[in-house]
Amino acid sequence: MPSSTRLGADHGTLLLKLIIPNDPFAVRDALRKISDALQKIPVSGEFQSTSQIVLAEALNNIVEHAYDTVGSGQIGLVLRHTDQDLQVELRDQGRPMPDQIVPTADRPRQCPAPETLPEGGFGWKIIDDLAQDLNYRRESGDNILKFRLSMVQMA
Amino acid sequence: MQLDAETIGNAFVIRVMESRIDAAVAIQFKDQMRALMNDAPGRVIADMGRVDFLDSSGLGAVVASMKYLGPERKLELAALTPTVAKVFHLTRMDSVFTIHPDMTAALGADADAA
Repeated sequence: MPSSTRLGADHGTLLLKLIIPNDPFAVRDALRKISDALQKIPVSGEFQSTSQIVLAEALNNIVEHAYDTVGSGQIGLVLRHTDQDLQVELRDQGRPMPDQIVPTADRPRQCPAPETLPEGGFGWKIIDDLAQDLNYRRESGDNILKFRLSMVQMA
Repeated sequence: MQLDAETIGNAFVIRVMESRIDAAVAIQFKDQMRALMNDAPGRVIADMGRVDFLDSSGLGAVVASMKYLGPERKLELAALTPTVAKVFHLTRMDSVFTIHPDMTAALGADADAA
């Protein structure tokens, strides 16, 4: 088997690098740039939709939780792609994840009663459902989140 | 944030005139929905046809709007665009809300809603 069967996180063609200010409107702006860049590959409408949803959640999590929506922090975004997937790397200098892990394990799986419906906490569930090879690590004061989005037709 | 509202038959229809309900505007959306729904009758339908994108903060604001109506009144949704429908599906919120394919279906469902 050629070693390329296993797609390393840093393989692929560089598509886009952005420094995004810690601000929800800057996240909006970044999502538009990401969509424009993906259009040039090009990708399917379905993949555009999936990638916008996942990247919005990942970026907003950093703004809201790592940076608490205050201060002048920045988010570094790097996108690479192969024929089969989009590789995402996000880096910030905010607070580490609680317990230094991605909080996907204890997500609610069934519908609660309407009066107790959550008004938040949907973000990681969405990321976990749509992204592959989700990996978080803390390195020299940086949070580094990496994941992959498959461009191959999803079920 | 632009929301237009009018009474049609027994329903109070709120047209969401924004293309994005995301983290940047979720709180504003929630506050304005609440203000609009204050004197709404029993059935409220949000026409989501112009909303191309909704993230989990936007979803939280829609859920908060529904909860605000309490048990006697009901918030229904109509005309979800594909990306918005996907977010509702991924979070299972499509089983919590009554979702109509379009406004015609929503208003036609009048009789059944009583």
